[in-house]
Order: sequence, then structure tokens, then C-alpha cells
Amino acid sequence: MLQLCEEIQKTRLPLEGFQTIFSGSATVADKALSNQEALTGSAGYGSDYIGFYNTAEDRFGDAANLTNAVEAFKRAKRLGMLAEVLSRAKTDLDKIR
Amino acid sequence: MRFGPERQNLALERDALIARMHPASLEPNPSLWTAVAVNLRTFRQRHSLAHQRHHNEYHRRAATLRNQIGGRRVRVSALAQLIQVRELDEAVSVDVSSRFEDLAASVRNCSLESDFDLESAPWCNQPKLPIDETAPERQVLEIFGAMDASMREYNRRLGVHAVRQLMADSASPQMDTIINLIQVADPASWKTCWTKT
Repeated sequence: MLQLCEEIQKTRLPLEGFQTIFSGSATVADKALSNQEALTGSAGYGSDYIGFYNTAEDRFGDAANLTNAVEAFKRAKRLGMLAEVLSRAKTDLDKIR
Repeated sequence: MRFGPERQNLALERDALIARMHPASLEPNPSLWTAVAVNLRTFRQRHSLAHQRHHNEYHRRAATLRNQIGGRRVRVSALAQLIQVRELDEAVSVDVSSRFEDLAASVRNCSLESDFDLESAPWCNQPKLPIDETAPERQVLEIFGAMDASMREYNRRLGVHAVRQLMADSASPQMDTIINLIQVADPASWKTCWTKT
């Protein structure tokens, strides 16, 4: 869970960078990442299984939604890896006016 | 939008690319970026070619304009002097000289006449030539027209002044010449001279 938490934070950075380049670039991944962050937080040291279950149920409702959130996270990671090239391409296109 | 009316297809293509590369568009399937990147490369090449053509066309026209402007410098200088002659009445087109200099400065010069890298920045950088900027041919016509009109007016005033000077001295050796000219010319054009003398 700690590894997932770190990966979420690493993924967030490039996605947040999009917002300065693309207007209105908040994505559905934002919510998925927030929910997974909450889940990893409730699985940390000192948390009990009931708290973890409650967070999972509150944030995802059912297993299918958790699966979807994990898929969204994977896509967000791939999108994050494109951040640099996308930002460069957008900046270039903005100059072409 | 700076593409100009003749390149709206490029403007639309650019906007479509920006929409397709938006994170919200790519998020459901980030692998679509591969196709967008190919289209982006094609767009850059098309834009660079369009810009190169525009660049060459602009500088071909600009070279002609520079020659025309250079050929008018003597006339601008003459007008500047005529404006200061009080005997020629109120000055005409006093701003022509400054407008002419502004025009001369506005014609861009660029050492990159052709063959710049298609993958390079979207503009020629010395100095930057936007793709919608055209050589100032219309302004040249306007200012040259104003200059010609001013010069015609000063020629008329000079003529009137010269005739008055001669008429004031009936013993002038040029008087016979004037009389001969009047005989072959349209006297109606001398009306101003007669009425004011």
C-alpha cells in the first residue's frame, strides 16, 4: 500500500502540471486518485480493518468501482509519462497563431 | 487567430490537434497519443511549408517595395523643403515625411530567404514574421498617392508663384516666353493666377 501511495503522489505531479498548460484539464483520474489515496491512508500503520473496509465502501461502493479506479490510475500513470511531450507540443502549437 | 483568412484550414487543424491532445481526451486511452503525434508532425510540416511559402512571397514583394521606397526618397526630401517655403502658402501633407519613414521601417528584411529547417520554430526569427503579415503594399500606395498629390499641389503653387513674379516685371526677358505659352495653353488653367494678380 505504501508503494501505491508513493506512485499516486508521483503520478499527481505531472497531471497537476497539465492544469497550467491545458485549460480545464482536471480529469476523471483526479477523483480515482483521491479515492485510492484515501484507501491507502486507511491501510497505514495503526489503522484497523474496519476503518479500511469503511473507507473502501464509502469511496468505491463495490469491487467493480475499485477495479475501475485501479484502471483509471494505470491510465493516469501513462498519461503522466506523456506530460513532458504533451506540454512541449501544446506550447509549440500555442506559438503557431 | 493569426493564420489569416487564407489559412483557416491550418487554424482548424491546429485547434483539432489541441483538442485531441487535451488530457481529458487522452485519459480514456492514452495510447491514442501515438496517432496524435503523427498528425502533429504532419501539421508542423504543413505549417512550415505554408510559412516558408509566405516568407518567400513576403520578401519577394518586400524587395520590390524597398526599391520603390528608395526611389521616392528624393521626392520626400523635396517635399520636406517645399513645406518650409512660406511663399508657397500653407504647408500640405506635413506628415508625409514621417509616414514615409515609418513605412520604410515597417518593411521587414530577413537574411533567411529560403530553405530553413522544416522542423524548426514556426517563425523565421530574424526578425519574426507572422504568417498573416503581408508586405505593406496598400500603405505604400496610400503614401505614394499622398506624396504625388502634395507634389502636384506644390508644382501648381510654384507655377503660380513663378508667373506672378514674371508678371510683376513686364520688362522681364521671360515675358515673351510666357505669352507664347499662354497662346498654346488652355487659358482656363491660369484662372487662379489672373484673379489673384
